[in-house]
Amino acid sequence: MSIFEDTLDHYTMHNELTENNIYSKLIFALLAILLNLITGSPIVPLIIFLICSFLILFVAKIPLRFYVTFMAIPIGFAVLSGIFLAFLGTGEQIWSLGFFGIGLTKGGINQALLVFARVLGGVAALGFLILTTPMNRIFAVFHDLHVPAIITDLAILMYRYIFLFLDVTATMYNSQRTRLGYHNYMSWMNCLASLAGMVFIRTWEQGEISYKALASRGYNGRLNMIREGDSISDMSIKDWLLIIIFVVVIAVAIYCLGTANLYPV
Amino acid sequence: MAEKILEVKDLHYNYPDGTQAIKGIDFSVEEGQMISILGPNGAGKSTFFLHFNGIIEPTSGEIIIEGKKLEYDKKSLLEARAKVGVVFQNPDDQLFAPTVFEDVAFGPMNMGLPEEEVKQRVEEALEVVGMSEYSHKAPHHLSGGQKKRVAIAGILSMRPKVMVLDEPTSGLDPNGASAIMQLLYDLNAEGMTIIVSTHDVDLVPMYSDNINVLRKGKILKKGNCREVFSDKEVIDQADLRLPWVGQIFEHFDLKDGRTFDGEGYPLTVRDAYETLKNEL
Repeated sequence: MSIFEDTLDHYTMHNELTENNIYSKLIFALLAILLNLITGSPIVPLIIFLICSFLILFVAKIPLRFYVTFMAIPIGFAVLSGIFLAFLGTGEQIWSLGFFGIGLTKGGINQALLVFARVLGGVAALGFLILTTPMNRIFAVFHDLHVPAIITDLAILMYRYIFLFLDVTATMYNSQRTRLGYHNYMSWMNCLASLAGMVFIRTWEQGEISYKALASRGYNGRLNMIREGDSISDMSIKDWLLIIIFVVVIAVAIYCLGTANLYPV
Repeated sequence: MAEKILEVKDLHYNYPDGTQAIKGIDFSVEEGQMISILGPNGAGKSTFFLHFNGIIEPTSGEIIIEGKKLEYDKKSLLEARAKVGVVFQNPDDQLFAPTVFEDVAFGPMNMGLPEEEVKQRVEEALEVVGMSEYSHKAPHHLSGGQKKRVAIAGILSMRPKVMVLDEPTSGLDPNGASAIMQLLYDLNAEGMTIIVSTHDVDLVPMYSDNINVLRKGKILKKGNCREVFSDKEVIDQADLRLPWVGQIFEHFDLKDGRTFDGEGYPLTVRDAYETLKNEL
């Protein structure tokens, strides 16, 4: 159990918003992403980022350390692409690399800031949904949206067995290291190869036996699951109001700020 | 005599490679019994159990459930699986759903029951195994003993007539193991027929008085605890041993020639206490 203490999966089930109606969270996140995309100024996505971060850290009470690690990878990518965009823009050059005429341009910097801000806003909005919502509720939404059963069934089984095989892999890895595996480059290659091979065989065996276990309970090719989902009609008036206020505030901000950026066009 | 609820007649099963796994077993269970199948690893216990609800089709022989011969078409299989529930040895093989509640609901949903009844059955089953407060947890966040309980609840919610458990105490700590056995004992007292496979010889005498010893695909001996454990030859052949309590009395007998009242050696702590109380 302990190796799962600090995973995303753990926090989805142990935060202050776990029990809230999934549709409130879903509608909020989707609207936030949509508004985030139609804005022309980097300030609006930053506002969305701040609102979502506030919700994640202070309302859902996800630990800051975990939130930072969660955001680190997308932000890393955003910084990289921002740098490239800043050099590839058009318009007046303000600093030249002195190499094929490449340099920082005003247009490029504007573009870079906008993209960077949009990534922040978008990831935070998506993060709000996936950090606060247990997977099974998301499967229930799949069902409500009439996603084909085969996809939902596969997703459910994959979700469960990912954790099982993580455990199997961890155990095998430790047992290899106990017997001095991975001590040099060649051994590292060999051990990793046999680990991967064994885990593959184990998945095969597990598939057979899991089928038997499911069949014992009447499995007939379809996972008849009881859905523990919420209904969109159960959303509280408070949730609706908060979403409407959020949309109005962001819409006003989009309207007022237009394409305001670091360098006025 | 109570009604025969499950009957196995001259069962043979060969693995696809031709190895004989089950070599002619006759076996019958009456309603309300609690039967133990004792046998070493590789005796064919798990294979034998998977015949009871038609997961494995025998090479020859027949399975009779409530007087009706088991056929292997979809409808009869579904019916058989609702009547005979099999709890797998490793709960990780059985639990698949994202939450405990959904997993326990899986069996009754497949039986085509209305959702209200399914929910009620799930709550009841979780209550019986003492896991109600975990109903919204994910299986991978549970301990081994808790997973076992959920696996049992997953079968209980189908309200089978016979519950078959493959090594229910394996991998559990001593308290967890006796708690599971106590749970099965209570279920049996309420009228459920239970078949348990195990090689925990110390636990068996406390909970079951109807033992079948299985070895290499054959039943070596049937009988109550006294009969089975006093047959030294069978115990040796099946790689079993006397329960520790019995061994003490065997030592008294063999080394000091001292025997106590009663037939055979006492096998549980309580029996031993009763026997010794009068002597000391």
